[in-house]
Formats: sequence, C-alpha cells, structure tokens
Amino acid sequence: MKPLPALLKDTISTLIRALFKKPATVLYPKVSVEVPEGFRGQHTIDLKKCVGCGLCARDCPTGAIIMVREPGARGLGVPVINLSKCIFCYQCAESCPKGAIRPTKRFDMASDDPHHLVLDFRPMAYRPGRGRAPSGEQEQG
Amino acid sequence: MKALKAAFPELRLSGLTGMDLGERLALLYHLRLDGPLLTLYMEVPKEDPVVVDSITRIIPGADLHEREVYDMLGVIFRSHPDLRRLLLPDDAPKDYHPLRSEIDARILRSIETEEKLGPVITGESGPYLELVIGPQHPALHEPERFVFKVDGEVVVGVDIRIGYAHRGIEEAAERRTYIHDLYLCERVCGICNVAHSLCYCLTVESLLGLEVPRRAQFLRVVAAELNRLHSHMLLLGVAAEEMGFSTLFMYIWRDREAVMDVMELLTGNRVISSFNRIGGVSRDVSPSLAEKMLARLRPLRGRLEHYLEVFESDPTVLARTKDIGILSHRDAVELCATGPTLRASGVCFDVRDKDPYAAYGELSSLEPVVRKECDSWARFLARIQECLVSLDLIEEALERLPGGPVRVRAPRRVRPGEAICTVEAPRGELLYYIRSNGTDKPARLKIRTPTFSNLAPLRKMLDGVYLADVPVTLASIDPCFSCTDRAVIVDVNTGARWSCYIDELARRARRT
Repeated sequence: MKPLPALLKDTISTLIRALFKKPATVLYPKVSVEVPEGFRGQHTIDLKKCVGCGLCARDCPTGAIIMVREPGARGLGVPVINLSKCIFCYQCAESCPKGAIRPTKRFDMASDDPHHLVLDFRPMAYRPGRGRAPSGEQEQG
Repeated sequence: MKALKAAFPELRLSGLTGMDLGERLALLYHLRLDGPLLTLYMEVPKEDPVVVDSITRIIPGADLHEREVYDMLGVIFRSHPDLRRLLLPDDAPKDYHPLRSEIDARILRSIETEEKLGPVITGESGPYLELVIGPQHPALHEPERFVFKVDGEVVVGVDIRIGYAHRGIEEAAERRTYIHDLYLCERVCGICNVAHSLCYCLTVESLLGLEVPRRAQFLRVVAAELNRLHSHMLLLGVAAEEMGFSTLFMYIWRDREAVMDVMELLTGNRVISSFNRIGGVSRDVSPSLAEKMLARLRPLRGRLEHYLEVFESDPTVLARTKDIGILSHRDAVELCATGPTLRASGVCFDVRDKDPYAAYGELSSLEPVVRKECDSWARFLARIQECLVSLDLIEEALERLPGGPVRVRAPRRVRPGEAICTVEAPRGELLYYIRSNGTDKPARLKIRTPTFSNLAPLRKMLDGVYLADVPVTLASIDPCFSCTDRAVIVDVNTGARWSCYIDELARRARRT
C-alpha cells in the first residue's frame, strides 16, 4: 500500500484532470453517433445485380430472407429481408455470387410499425423508414 | 485411466462427450497433459441401464462432466459420489435423457410431473444454515443457483445447480447446416463470441481438411485478442463493482470502450463480430485501418498498467481478494480448472502456447501469465497481465500481417469424420467436438465451455470464505452465468425462512 501523501496526490491530480475533461458518455440520441466504415447496419440490395439464385435465403441462419416472385425478376425472384428476424451477420452478402447485398451505416431501425422492418427493394414496394406509407401504396407484410 | 493418472499426476480432464450411435453409446474422454489433447474413445452397448465406471475418484474434476452425460444420455456412472440431474430440472421425468435418439421431446407434454422444489433443505440438522442464492439475478445475464452451507459467516459447503438457461444448442445444431451453425455457435456466449466462432471454424476446417490463408490466421488472432481484452476488462470492472469500488468499475469500463471501437472498426460491430467464417475471415484490413486501430489502442497500455498498480496496491482490493478463495496448485489440477483460474494457481498451461492454433505458433510476444498466489487476487492480476500480452499480440499480428487472400471457399457438405478443437477463450479452454456423417449438417456437436470446467474448482474456492467474500470470489473465475440476487436463508433448526438481497450482502461486504 502506498503512503497517504502519495495516495492523496494521486487522488487530487485525478480529480483535477477529471474536472476539466469532457464527459466520456455521448448524449445519444441528442448527439448523433458516427459509425465507422464497413459497419454492419441495414442492408441495401442492388436488384440490377441480383440473379434470383436464392442462396442468401438458403444460407440465412434465421430465415430472415424470403424470395418473392416478381414479374420480370430472374430466377427465384427478389430477396425480401425481414429485419425483425435479421441478426446482421451478413452471411447473405458472403453467399451472394454477384455482390448485390451491401451494408449501409443505418442502425436506428427500431419502429413501432412492423411494416417498417420489411426491407423490400422492388420498385412498387412500400419503403421502410419514411414514416407512414401514403394511402394507396402497396404494402408488404 | 487409473494407470494414466498414476503415471502423469498433472493429467486433467478437458471434457467428456457422450454420443448416441444408435445401437451403442460412445463416450469420449478428452484429456489434457501438457500439450495436444488426448482423447480416449469408449463404446458401450445400449443396455438398460447403461453402467460405466466413474472416474471421479481418480480425477475429481470429472464430477460435473459425468453428471452432464448422465443427465443427457442416461449413462449411470458406478461409484459416482453424487449422480443427480445437472441441466434438466429436478422434476424432469425419470429416464428422460434428451440426447438419446429414441427419446422424443413430445412425450414431455403427456407426462404429468409432480411439482417439487429442488434440494433446498436437505433435512440435515446441525449447526449449519443453508443459504440459497439464485436462480434469478437482474444484473447478470444467466440464472444459476447456489446452495451455500454456512457456519455463522463462513461457507463450509456449496452446491451449484446450473441449467436454468439451457437452450439445447447442441441438439439445435444437429438440425441446421454448417453455415447456420456458425452463427448459432457464435451466440453461445455474447462476450466471448469470437472464441466460439473461431473454435467452430477450426473444427469444421479440420473436418474439411481446409488450409486457411495465413493472412486470415493473423487476423483471427487480432479479433480473438480484442475479444479477450474486452472480456477481461468487463470482468475487472464487474469485480471492482462487487468489491464496492464503483469508481474503478466506471474507469475500466470507460477504457473498455476503446476496445469496442476497435472491434467495430475491424468487424463492423461492437460485440457480435461475425468475423470468423469457415475458410477464413469475413473482411480484410487495409494498412490505414490497421494504423487507425493501433492508434486507438495505444493509450490503453498506460491505463492497464495503472489498473495493475491499483489492483496491486489498493487497500480495498487487497482486503477483498488477497488470500481469499484459495485454489491450491494441486486442487487446480485435480479439479481440472482452466484458463486464468488454472494459471493463477501456478500451472503454466495456455492452449495458445501449448497447442497453438491460428497464427499463435508464429507470434513471439505470446507469454503465458502464471502466478503463484492461488487466490482471487492472483486471478484478477493474471487477467490484467493477460490484457497487456493481448495488446502485444495485436500489435505484432498487425505489424507482421502477411499478404494474400483472407478466405478460401469451403464446400457445403462435409465428408464423414470427427474433429476436436480447443481454443483459449478469455475464460479458459473452450472445446468443440463435431462428428460429421457426410451431409451438410453435423451428426453431433459438443461444446464444453470454460466456465463448466471451472465450477468444480469454484466449489473448492468457496470453501471456507466469508459470506461477504462470496460475490468477489465468484467473479474471480469470471463465471459466464448470473449468480446472486435473491437469497433465501433457511434456518435448519427452526425452519424459519427469510430473504435478503445480494445488494444487502454486498453492502455488508463493504462495511466489513
């Protein structure tokens, strides 16, 4: 054990340093948090590259991806991701032979509407994350 | 077995795998001496009942391993001192052993079981109180129950009951493909997820006979060591909190953020890394990213050295940990402790050093941390020193990163065979055993986590400590389960029951 004066000196110097330092916590969500390059957030699917092979749906460990038939789509159809099942392992991107699935930096996906958690990139599909769907637009369950 | 133990007194049981082969049951005794794993294979015909000689008398650490196999496969171990259920509830139907192939889980619905609370009161009269702690605890993640036999303030015996968070992962893995299982195994434990996914990948790769690129092996070391840093710092913070030293807890956890950030830079997520893939790793590291990671980790060394000094000299820490929870060298070997718990009792055994995997064999900065004090204090100090070694390893691995690809393609189907791999997870040796039958799904996957091995030594450590020291002693093995929330104290003589909360215990700990 250190002698008392040395202990006091340590304590006081730590205290003074702490007084003039910024807090270590970030006040999220008032302050936005920057995520690094390559963060595994919400997906984006490039349907021009997708060949509809269905490997992403087959390899998804939680069965979050289903292939939906779509007029004009190749193979088994178009992958639709259910984000409420997704564990963000990105095995789908790993399995994709064309590199059509890529991560984005978006991480604040929580929603009170389950429709917001369906990621569907078909041209006519309802887009998640833009508030409520306008009436008349097709919704995906 | 007796002859082996007589010839090699340092022999430890790493794990015991039971398997149902249809007509016969197979038992695999994974033994560790001072190098690669040695496995004894034994087959027994499936009679009723299946009886095998217990080895608990020879290797006391086999106790819980044998109880697990009894529970899961119904193998009766002759002359086992205490053959009870371990993972299944006490009121599970007799002869219900879920890993037997003829057992169908649906029968559980039709069987009425009598409700009974486990052995809270043993009926044994005497000067002892039985203190039941658990199974629920809101602060930690997994429920567990301890029955302490206390004489005044001193613990004289402890019974540990686990299985409250049993998720049947081994069985679930048999129904999924090898690719799906990777992510299942990664989620066995959130904190040491890299160790689990790494061990799983190594096992599958050795089944496939796959050569992993050297660059991937170095990157695996980086991820595994970041994981160790994160896990150790988490534990040290929790330990400080249990001692009543909340400031230290907050400081350590603040500095741990740097490790989480680097993990995020490397793998794309703070905790669940999904970095290891069968055949390599998921992404490459550019030189600028490596530089950024090293820069973020640089201040950490000074901080860790400071914490080492704090743990070595602070009166609170010393009073709570020094000479408390003693696990002697002999007991550590007998009871088959593993990881820092084993090394803090003076046994120089680290899987990274003695049975190297990934790129550990090539890295010169790997120094196993061995301490001779055998108490809780030594176990905490060993972890801080291991953190410093981890930093060295990360730096060396990133500097010496060889070129080349980071992944090779792996076939989906795995040829028939079996493989065992061990890695040094933050809490100790982690063992995976996979048996493949030529399809794309494993026929048997066995996981032996380090905490399971450390439970038997924990019972020894808790013997003779004051009740107030129990939380810190529990934390000193870095248990991967929750332990202590609600305590029901039963006075055996009067039968009176009263409850107290662990906070109260901890408050009392601070006062004394």
